[in-house]
Amino acid sequence: MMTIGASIRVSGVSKRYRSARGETVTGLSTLDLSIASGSFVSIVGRSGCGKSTLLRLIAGLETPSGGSIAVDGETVSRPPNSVRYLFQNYSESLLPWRTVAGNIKFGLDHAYRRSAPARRAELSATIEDKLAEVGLAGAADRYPAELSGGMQQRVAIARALAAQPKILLLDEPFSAVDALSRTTLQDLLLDVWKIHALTIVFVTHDIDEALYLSDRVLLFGPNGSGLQMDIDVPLPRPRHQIETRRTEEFLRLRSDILQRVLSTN
Amino acid sequence: MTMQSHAGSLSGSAGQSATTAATRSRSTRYTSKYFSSRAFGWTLVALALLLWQVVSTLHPMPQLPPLTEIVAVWLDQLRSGDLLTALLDTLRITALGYAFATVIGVLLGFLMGRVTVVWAGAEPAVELLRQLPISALLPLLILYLGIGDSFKIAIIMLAATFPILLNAYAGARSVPRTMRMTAQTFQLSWLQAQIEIGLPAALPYILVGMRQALGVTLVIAVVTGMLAGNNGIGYFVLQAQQVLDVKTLFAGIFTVAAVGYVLNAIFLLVEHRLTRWRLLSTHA
Repeated sequence: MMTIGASIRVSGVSKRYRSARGETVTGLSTLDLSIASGSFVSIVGRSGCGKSTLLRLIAGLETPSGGSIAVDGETVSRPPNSVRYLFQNYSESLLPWRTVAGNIKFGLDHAYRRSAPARRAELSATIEDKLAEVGLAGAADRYPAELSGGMQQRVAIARALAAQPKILLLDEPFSAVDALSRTTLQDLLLDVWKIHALTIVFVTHDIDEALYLSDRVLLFGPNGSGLQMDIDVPLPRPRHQIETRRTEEFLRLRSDILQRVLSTN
Repeated sequence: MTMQSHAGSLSGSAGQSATTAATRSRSTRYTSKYFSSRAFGWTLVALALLLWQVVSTLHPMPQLPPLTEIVAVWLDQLRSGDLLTALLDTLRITALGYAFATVIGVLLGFLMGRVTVVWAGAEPAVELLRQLPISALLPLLILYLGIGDSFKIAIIMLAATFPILLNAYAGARSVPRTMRMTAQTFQLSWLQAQIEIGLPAALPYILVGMRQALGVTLVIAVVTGMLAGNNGIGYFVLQAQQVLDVKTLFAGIFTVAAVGYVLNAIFLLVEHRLTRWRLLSTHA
């Protein structure tokens, strides 16, 4: 049932690394997974559980040691065009020598569906639109270094959206952002997910964040042991930072997951 | 960022200490501001020149003519065109050698930093060559190229290439992994990634190398002029020394100092303009 309209299919994928001492380290043991088109899926787990590894494999930034990954029915052998990736360290992902507008233009220049070259006025209007969408209207001429962490991650989101992706992969995107900005960024992400009909895979170590955002939460076991829990999150949308987080359902799911994490210490 | 873009230029005051403004009088604050600015240093230079003028006027001696007389000769030489011709000759040679060095240094250094096979192929030769003192190569190059322009350009190029190359290499190595992965996820081709991400990321390093090289080139250009003994500002100075014309000798030295200062100042201006984004601090 999940496979119909699946956007991402992970079939028997494993990843092994060779450590500096020459030992083989399991990044991810054999994993099968299907992610439905248009869904918001979060992956949680301890450090080293392989959640970021899986994300890089889907993004085509690494190649699996075994098995295969298909995005939109096509096997991933290089970064798929319909996918954009948001990194945790936005400061090294944004181009610091370009202004905010320049960074958005980078997204437009390297878009999935590239539009015809726009005239200057059109271009700056498009850029201003993209910035307004992430709440950064008027910041076009500033440099990333002049912005706070939260604002920089907004620029990164706008740049990814400018490339018109179908799938957005986010690797702990808000963990380096202060707590207050984090909640507004979460709601911003939910808005763009809905408006652009994206499929989102979101890696985090914050169980509350995963539950608040997602349709489905995947708990990965320690040391690359793979999928430990696959949880449907039937919380109604639109979600609300205060209301949603204090519903019985939210708290029950939260304690279920936490219990499982703590029991596999 | 670990690299200070102004390192080596001595630009930017060393310690702008926090002032406890409330307790200080206006004049004390003014004094403290003066002593932490370059105006203080320029005053010392002016004082040294004044001392020179006073001593040389009170105790006339051929080795140290009064400044006023040197300046008079300097202006004369500039007007007659001899000094200007020599200067332009040196600058032309410098510019050519420097341009070649920049192209070779940036291309080779950057590619060594980004393409393993280029690094593997070039690293031993680069390490061998850069250990060679330029002076050891002079006789050989004169033998091959004579003492004309090509010899001087070759020497300048050799001296200027290595600082640029080594810094371009370091710059190419400094491109963060996340930035390279960003290029991948945005579907950039290898060439696009180098042009849109690699080179701009390496630019601050390249500029540091170019500024180091600029200092070297002028020195080498003057020395080759003396060595070849046919033209340029080096030859101008040497000639003045041989006929014991100390005033003209000083005029030549002052010219080199002024040109060096101006070139460096222009370079800093361009560098600042190009890497403005690095000097912005995080706030808001």
